[in-house]
Amino acid sequence: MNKIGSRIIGKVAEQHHLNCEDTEVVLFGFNLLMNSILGLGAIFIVAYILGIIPTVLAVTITSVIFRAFTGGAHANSPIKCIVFGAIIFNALGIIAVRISNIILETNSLGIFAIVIFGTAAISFFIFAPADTPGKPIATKVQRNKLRLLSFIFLIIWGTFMVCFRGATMYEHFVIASCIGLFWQSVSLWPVTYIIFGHK
Amino acid sequence: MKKKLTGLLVTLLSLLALTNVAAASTITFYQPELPSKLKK
Repeated sequence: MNKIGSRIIGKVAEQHHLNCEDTEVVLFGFNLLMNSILGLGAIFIVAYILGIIPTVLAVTITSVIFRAFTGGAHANSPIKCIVFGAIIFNALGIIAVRISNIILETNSLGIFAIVIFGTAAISFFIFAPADTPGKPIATKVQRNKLRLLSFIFLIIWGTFMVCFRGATMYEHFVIASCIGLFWQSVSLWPVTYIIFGHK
Repeated sequence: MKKKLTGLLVTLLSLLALTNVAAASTITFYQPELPSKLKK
């Protein structure tokens, strides 16, 4: 994929008389775009096969939004990224489907959401924003900004969940979103980095 | 027309790259290494 990207961007750079550095930036953007499309595509293809697209969508959207501010463990190759993503998010979707009925029957959605909120708050306080090897967070200013944004979005998420509390048909999405947030919290832990192959 | 479209592509991909610099991470499980210009 990198070779194909280099060829395409190389031709475009030639056409627009871009220097070496600018070409690298455009190629970086291209790689980001392709990794995102392939990664998300793999997640939703598997979700479609399993018949759990709405749940996986809720898990993924929640996780992805927080990931932009908190960071998290990464795979060390694009192929592993696609495979891990497809496995993890669909596994989380299946878990969300399985535990939905138990949570709703025991009327413990509120407690569940509060526990998840608390876990996320503690994880963000201790670990966010978490570095990635390819893109360490360079300045203290940026680190503090991302940390603040993580907490702001956590509060927004909590408010959003409270607003949906009364709407029965959305409770499954609330649970799926909680699972997505829990996964994102876990992805900040050092042990998750070790499992993904980083020290 | 083709040049305008490729120009738009260059702009959008550059914007995406800058957005990634501002964020903590990409949305998927793989973070490509930052080019030297963006490390500055």
